[in-house]
Amino acid sequence: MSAVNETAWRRLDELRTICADLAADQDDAVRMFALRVDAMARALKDSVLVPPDLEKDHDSE
Amino acid sequence: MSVDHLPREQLRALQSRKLGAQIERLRSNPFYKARLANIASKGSPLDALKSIEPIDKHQLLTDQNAEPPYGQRLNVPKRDVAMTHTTAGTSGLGQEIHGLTWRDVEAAGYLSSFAFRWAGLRYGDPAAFNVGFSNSSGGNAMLRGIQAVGNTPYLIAQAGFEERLSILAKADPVGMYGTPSAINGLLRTARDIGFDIRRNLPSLKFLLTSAEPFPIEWALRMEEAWGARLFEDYGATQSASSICASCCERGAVVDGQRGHMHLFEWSFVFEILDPETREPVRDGEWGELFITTLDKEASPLLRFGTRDRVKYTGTRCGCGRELMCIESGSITRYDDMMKIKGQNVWPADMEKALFGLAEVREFSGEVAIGPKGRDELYLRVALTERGEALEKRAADDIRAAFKAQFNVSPVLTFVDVTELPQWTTPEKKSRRFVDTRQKGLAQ
Ligand SMILES: [Zn+2]
Repeated sequence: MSAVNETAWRRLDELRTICADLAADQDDAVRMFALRVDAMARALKDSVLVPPDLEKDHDSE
Repeated sequence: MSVDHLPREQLRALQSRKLGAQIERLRSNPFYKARLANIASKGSPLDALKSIEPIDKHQLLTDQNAEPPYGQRLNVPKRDVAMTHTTAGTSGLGQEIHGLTWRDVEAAGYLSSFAFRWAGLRYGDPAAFNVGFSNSSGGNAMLRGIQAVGNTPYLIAQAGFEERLSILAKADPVGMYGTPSAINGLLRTARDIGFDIRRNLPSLKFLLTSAEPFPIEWALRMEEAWGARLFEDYGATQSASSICASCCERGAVVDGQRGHMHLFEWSFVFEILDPETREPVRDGEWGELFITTLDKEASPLLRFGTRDRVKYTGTRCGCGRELMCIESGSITRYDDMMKIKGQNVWPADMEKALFGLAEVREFSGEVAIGPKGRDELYLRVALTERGEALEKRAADDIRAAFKAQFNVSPVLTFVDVTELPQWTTPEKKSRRFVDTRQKGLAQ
């Protein structure tokens, strides 16, 4: 798997951690921002990127 | 490596992993619970899928009527539904409604972006968007599809054709998305008003189209007139809420032949099955497309029968991708099919056969119960000129073509074009072929 994809995957997970913090904010707009950025990160992973552990998963089948 | 280039084996591993998780998520869903009762958690989910009872439109409508608006199949709390997509309701059965979470909304965009990326849209490129907005999936998913990689400085569907052309000239997009009818209409208007498309749109590289079948000759004519390559995408509101297939870099027509669309197998499982035996069709054969969503959260679907008739073209392509392919430009609906004397016949194929004869100008067809109580196909044909000799030749040509292609012998009448329904009531959107057998039986 190419390093670029793996880096993006990892950085998106970090972004999701930040979103989880922001989701507890008192301002509704901040909470909605957190919800939507988290959704974007998950959608990008599901729809465009290759899970870095796919090769491992495949070998163990 | 990007996900669309996964080797087949890894693609299957990804599908298997996602499907296994999806089945577990749906075990407690009231709509799916009974369907999954006999599916073991161990073993290959892709094998298990084959024993799950497929779903059709009727079942979705029954479900949502029993528990409006989303039905029991909604697999998230109702307040997590960020948007909805509805079907057009043209089947006459009712409008389906499908919920989307924010993840589903964004995923619809990312998935649709593959159509634009493969067609040649690059980071930050401007593209023109020629489709109106509503709760139908086409507008929303495709606009987000462009925006996933490029820009949409101008929306043009709200304007008349002439104004659209002037906006296009200002925007100078690298690509345009629109239905075949819209692409065709714009070209006709351009010719009428003397708008030089090639000169006014120097950056245009691609036209992306969907929703209607088209002849190869039409595709080639559009590519020539617009100075751009034609691409096609395919989507089903019912299951995808985004598109789930698209032409790769090679386009909708490759070396004068129909190209193909790659199915987005990293986010769906597709099955192309014989509608009667439910067995998978082979490379080169026609079948019904069944879709299982793998990532969708709000309204997931297992083995939804689209009623779309597609031609499977294998998993090999010059682009190197190993995704399942379907033929471009030729998707029709099984519900349009007519069974005449035991033969499955599609109106679009009959139209093609008739218009393929130079002497045929217009026609209308009716499938009815004949005097002997059997199916008959009655054809009323208007020729380019009247005359016994021409009618004799046309009758021979039509009979030969229908016998060879459909194994049906039509009852022919030659009429003047002014006697045809298209002529007498042109404002009515009439089909060229009607089936009055039910009516005949009721009498
Ligand atoms: Zn290809």
